[in-house]
Amino acid sequence: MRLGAINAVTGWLLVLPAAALLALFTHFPVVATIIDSFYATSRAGKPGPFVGLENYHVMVADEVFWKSLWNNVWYSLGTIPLSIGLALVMALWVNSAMRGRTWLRVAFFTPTILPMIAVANIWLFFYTPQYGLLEKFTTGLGFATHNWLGTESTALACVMVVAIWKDAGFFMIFYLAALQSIPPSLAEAAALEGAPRSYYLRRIVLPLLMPTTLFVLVNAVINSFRLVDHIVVMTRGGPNNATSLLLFHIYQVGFSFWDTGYAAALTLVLLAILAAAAIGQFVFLDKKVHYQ
Amino acid sequence: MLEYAQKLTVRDASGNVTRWGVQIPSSGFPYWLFQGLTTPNGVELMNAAGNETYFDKPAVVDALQYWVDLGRKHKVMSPGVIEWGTTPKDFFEKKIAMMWTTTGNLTNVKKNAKFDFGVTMLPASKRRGSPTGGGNFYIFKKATKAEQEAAVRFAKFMTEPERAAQWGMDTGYVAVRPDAWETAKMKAYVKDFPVASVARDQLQYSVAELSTHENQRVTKALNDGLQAALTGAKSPAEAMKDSQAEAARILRAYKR
Repeated sequence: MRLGAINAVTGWLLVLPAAALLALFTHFPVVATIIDSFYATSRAGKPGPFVGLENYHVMVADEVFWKSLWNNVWYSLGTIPLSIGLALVMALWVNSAMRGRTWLRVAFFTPTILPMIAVANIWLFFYTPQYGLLEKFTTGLGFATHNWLGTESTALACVMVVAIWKDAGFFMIFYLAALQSIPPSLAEAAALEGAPRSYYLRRIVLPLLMPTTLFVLVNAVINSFRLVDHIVVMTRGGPNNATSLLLFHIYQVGFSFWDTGYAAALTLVLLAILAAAAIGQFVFLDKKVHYQ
Repeated sequence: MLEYAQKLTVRDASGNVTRWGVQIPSSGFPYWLFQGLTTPNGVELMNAAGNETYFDKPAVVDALQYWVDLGRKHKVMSPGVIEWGTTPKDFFEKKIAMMWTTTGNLTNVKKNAKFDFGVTMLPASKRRGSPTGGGNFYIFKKATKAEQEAAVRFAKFMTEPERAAQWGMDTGYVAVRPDAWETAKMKAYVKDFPVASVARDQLQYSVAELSTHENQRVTKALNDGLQAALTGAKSPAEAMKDSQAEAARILRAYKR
C-alpha cells in the first residue's frame, strides 16, 4: 500500500516538469485567451471593460473575417492533399535504386530548409508579370501576359503553390523513412507470388505507410493554418483580401490594429478549428490506421 | 502623364505589351500612392483632427477613376494590383517606362539603372502635390529622465547636417534639415546629380500623409477599396463609398 503511494508520487514528480511547461505555455494561454475575448481592448492604459459576447457579434459582422475563413478553407483543401500526394510520389521515386538519387533527394528537400521569408521573396519574382520565370514560360507558349498576384482570381492559387512546394519536401522525408523501414522480404515475397508492382503498392506499401500518413496529415492541417509568412511578403492579404488567411487576419487585428480583445475572439475560432481537426484525426482516422 | 504613357507603351506585332508606359504600384499600401493622385486633384483625404475622412468625395472618386483607367481603359499600365517590391526591378528591366516610387529608392536606381533616367515632380491636375513620407523619432513621456536625455542625444546625432546629408546621398531620402543641403558634400552631389533635389523641391506642395485615429484600420478600409477598384471587383464610386462607410464606422467613437 505504502509502496503504491510512493510510486504514485514518483510518477507525478516525473511528469511534473513536462506538465508544468504544458500548463504554462499551452493551457494557461488558452484560458487567458478565452477570458480576454469577453473584454474590450484596453485603451490608454485603462483595462477594457467586460463586454460579454460583443467581440463575437463584431466577428459575425466582419466581412474580412468570413473572407479569410473561406480563403483558408480553400487553401487547406488545396494544399493538404496535393502536398501529401506529391510527397508520396517523390518519396517512392527517390527510394528506388537509380543513379543520382542523392542529388534528387537534396533537391526535393531544399525548399524545406530555406526560410519562408526568403522563399516568398524568390517566388515574388517568379510571379512577376512580363519577365518573371512563370511569365517567360507562358508568354513563350504564346499566352498573353498575366498579373498573377495582382488579380483576385489567381492570387490565392499562387500562394497555395508556394506552400505546396515548401511542404512536400518536408513530408517526403517522413515517407522516405517509412519506406525504408518496410522489410525488403515483403517485396521479395510479393515478387515470388507474381504480384504486380501496382498491387504490391496498393495492398502492402500504402497500408504500411498509414501511420506516417496520419502523422503527415496532422502536420499538413496545422501548417495550412499556421504558416502565413509568405502572405506577409507576397500579398499582405491583398488584392482586396483575396489571400487573407485566418491567422493573417488575426495578426492584423492583433498587431496592426492593436485590437487585442477582438483578436482573442478570433484566435478562439482558430483554436476551435484546430481542436476539431485534431479530435477528428485521432478519434476517427486512428481506427483505420494499421500499426505494426 | 497619360499622353506620355501612351507614347511610351510599346506593343509587339501580336499586340502584347512589351513595355508599359507607366506604373503606379498598388500592393501593401496603395493609399500612399493614391495621395499622389488625390492631392494634385485638389482634395485631401482626412481632416486635421484625424477623426473624419473624405474617401467618397467626387474629386477622390475621380482620382481613383483615373488610376483604374490607366490600366483598364487606356491600357498604358498593367491592370490589376501591381507589386511595390518588384517595381524598381521592372524599371531596370525596361518593362516600364515611368514608375512612381519613394525617393528613398533614388540611390538604388542611380546605381542599378543601366541607362539615362530622369526624375520629376508628380504631374499636376489642378495643383502640384504629393503626400509626405518617412518616419519619426519618438521620445516617450514615461521613460526615465536619463533615457529621455539619451534619446534626445541620439536624435540630434542622427540629424546632424553632415550625417543627414550623407544619409540622403546614400539612400535618396530627402535630407531632413535645410542646412544639410548647404553642406559642401551635398552641394557637390546635387551639382553632379541635379535630380537629387526634386523630392525636396516638391515638399512645398506636399500635404500630410493619411493619418487618423485607428490609423491602420482606416488605412486598410481605404486600401481594400482601392484594390477592389483596381482589380475590377467594384466600380471606383462604389469602392470609395464602401471605404468611407467603413472608415466612418471606425471613427465614430472619436467624433464626440
